[in-house]
Amino acid sequence: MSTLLEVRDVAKSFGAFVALSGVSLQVDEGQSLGLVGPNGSGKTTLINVLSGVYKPTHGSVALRGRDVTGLAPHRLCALGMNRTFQVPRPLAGLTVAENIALVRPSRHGSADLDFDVLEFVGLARVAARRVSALTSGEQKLLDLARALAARPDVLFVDELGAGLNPSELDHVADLLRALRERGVALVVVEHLMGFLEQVVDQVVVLNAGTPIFEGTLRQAIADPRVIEIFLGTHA
Amino acid sequence: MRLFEYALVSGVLYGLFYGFIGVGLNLLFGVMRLVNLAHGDLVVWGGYLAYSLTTSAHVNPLWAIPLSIPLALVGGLILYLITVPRLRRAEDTETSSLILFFGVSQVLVALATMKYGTNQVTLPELGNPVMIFGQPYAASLVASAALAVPALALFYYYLYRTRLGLATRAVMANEEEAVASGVRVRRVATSAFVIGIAFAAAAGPLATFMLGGINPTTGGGLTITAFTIIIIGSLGNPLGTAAGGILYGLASSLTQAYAAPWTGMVPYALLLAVVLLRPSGLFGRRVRVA
Amino acid sequence: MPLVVVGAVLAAGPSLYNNLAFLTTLTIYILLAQGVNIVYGFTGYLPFGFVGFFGAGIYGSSLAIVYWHVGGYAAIGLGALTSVVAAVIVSPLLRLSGAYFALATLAASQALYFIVANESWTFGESGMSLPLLFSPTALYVLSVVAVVLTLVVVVYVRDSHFGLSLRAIRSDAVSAAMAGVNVVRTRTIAWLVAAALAGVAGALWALMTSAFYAETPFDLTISVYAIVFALFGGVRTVIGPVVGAVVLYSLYQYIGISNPQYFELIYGLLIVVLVLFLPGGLTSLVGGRGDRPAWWNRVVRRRSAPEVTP
Repeated sequence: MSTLLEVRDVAKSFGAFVALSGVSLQVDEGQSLGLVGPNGSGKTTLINVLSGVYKPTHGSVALRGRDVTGLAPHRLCALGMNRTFQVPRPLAGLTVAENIALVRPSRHGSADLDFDVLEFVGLARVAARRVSALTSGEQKLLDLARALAARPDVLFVDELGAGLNPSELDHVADLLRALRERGVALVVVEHLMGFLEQVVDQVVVLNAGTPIFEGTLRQAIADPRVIEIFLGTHA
Repeated sequence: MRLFEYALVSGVLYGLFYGFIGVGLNLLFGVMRLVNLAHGDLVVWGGYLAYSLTTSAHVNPLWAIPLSIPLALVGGLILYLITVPRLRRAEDTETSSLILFFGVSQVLVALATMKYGTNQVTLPELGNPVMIFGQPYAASLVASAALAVPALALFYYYLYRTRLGLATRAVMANEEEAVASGVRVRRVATSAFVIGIAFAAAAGPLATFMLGGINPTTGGGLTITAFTIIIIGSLGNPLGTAAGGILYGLASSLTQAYAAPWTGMVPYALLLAVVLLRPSGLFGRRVRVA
Repeated sequence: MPLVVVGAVLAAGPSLYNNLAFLTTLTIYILLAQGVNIVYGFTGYLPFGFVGFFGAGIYGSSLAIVYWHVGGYAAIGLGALTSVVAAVIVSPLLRLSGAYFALATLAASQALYFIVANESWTFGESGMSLPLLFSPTALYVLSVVAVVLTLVVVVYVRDSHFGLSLRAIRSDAVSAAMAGVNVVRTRTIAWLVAAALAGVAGALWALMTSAFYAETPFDLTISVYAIVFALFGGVRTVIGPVVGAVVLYSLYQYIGISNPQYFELIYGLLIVVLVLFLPGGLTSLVGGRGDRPAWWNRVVRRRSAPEVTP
């Protein structure tokens, strides 16, 4: 498999606060990578840097060997990178269908995403509704559908599972697995280990803005460094 | 050189007064993101109160200051109850409040025109000119500047030395976190609103002296100037507002001395320069860029 | 459809009320209110200094007539161009948000006023005076054509992907960017289109008025009227700003000229009531249910059958 996304020595600070430092990782085509770590370890900041919301203070990001460091979100979207938001941000005031109609699909996409995204996530029946009339679970699905409509090759999924009930959670896990089969590379931030286990091959563990472990989820759970940061030194 | 000295001293005197005008506005904008475009008109109404006192009761116009405060507190509370709860629920509070208070401003201007007419109204001079560095300055000018100092000090005391002030600063910094820490935001908001309005009204007699008189349309320019000052001096920072006022006063009086036709452009040019080059103001770190 | 109605009503205007100066000024206000509609309604930026583009259009067209002796149509084009150039110059202000943007545009418009009022090449002291290039009737016809073309532009903005992008940006700029919308470019285009409308309005005003000082073209009241007309009728709609301008400017004509303070009072109260109780404007009362204010739905629901939701 060839490398799709390569992150080299990325750092991000806000004033004196260092949110990320020395982050290097790579995602192969169609690979599914989990990103775990305690609250404040820099997972969402990393997603924000990778999706163009923030410019990194240092380091580089390359997509298919092309340098995309610091590009605006709409450029990254066109090149085949997209994301969901931890707190879903569908466009209020627009209908569900309009949220999808807005998206201009990437022409680079090699993943097999030529389908009706609303149908895929199960929102086709509420297509005419306004976003404000959706449940929070439906808003999360719409956020995912919006990201898919852009036909990304790599999708950053920021805590999609949080706040969902068990049946919604199963539905979302099914969706992510289906996407994997269709060749979409995933970077999944998640606290729910059971959920993560279903959708990722590898995990990277972040602590205080720096990766401290890379391997399978099973190895991660057994690693003493990982146990220490999750349970604290008193455990 | 004497012109330069004169411009410097009057710049500082005017600046203190402008700082006084700015603090009330700063409080409303800092706490609730309310853009009180009627601020200048409230100042003007404070001035009219002083005018009515001197013409009907023949007392010192400065008595209007203590008299206007309770009136402004009550009026401010009523205005607060009518407008703020609905505004806070609006889609875009900041812009909605700007439009709403513009409406309030129009009402105040219209009422002032009906009661006092469109002619300039002035207050009697307070006494003999005061000598500063060998040059005479009108007593009213010096008195107004001198009154602005304790007013700013009082504001500083409220914000940094009282519990309510602490809560106010917490809400300014981050409303959600303030709520989470048990700050009663509504109480803070209500008091910030009425205090802001009381400050505006109390500045009225001073404005009438400083500007050489008022008419119903004086308020609009005052509001813009006050906004310029609080943006220069950074939001939520009373010392910054005072410094912004002095900076503005100096820029304005130096322009008046050396390039008089352009004096009116000073607040606008300063405002543009600050929002484009340093939107967080000269004395703060908060950046507000879309 | 609404295009035809508005065009027909405006065309029939002179036979209904024979005061061409009033009718032409009304069309100028419709153009300005539509400009505000595009900037504020679709992008959420309140252009308090919108009058600056109006003034730029007035002076761009006037100076072209005075110095280059251009014809009336060229003057209108150059007026629009001047406003667009002014809009490009102040486009960095789009980085600001909320009140900062509103007040900064106000400052920019007044700074432009001081330049125009103090320079001799703009006839700041002596005042501008222009030859009459159009008869009042021809000018009115021209301004009705301008209104119809503007409505076409607004229909496009409302219904096109461009308009959808604007609404998306207004809702959440980050999320819109993630959907592939070029936020900066889309916003800037809307800004330039609105400026061009104000420029055309300014050129028409200059051709109508022909003798003026800088105070009138840069009077902030013009910004405010345009904003309130648009809000009163309802922003993000095609017909709202037209309705707002017609109703309120007629009211102004009726009482504002003889008793300006009473008009100001009514106007001020109207603004307050509008913001508090009818943020969607008059047209929201007849539009889709979702846009209507909650109090209206409460009143109306009592009289109609209960709504059935699936």
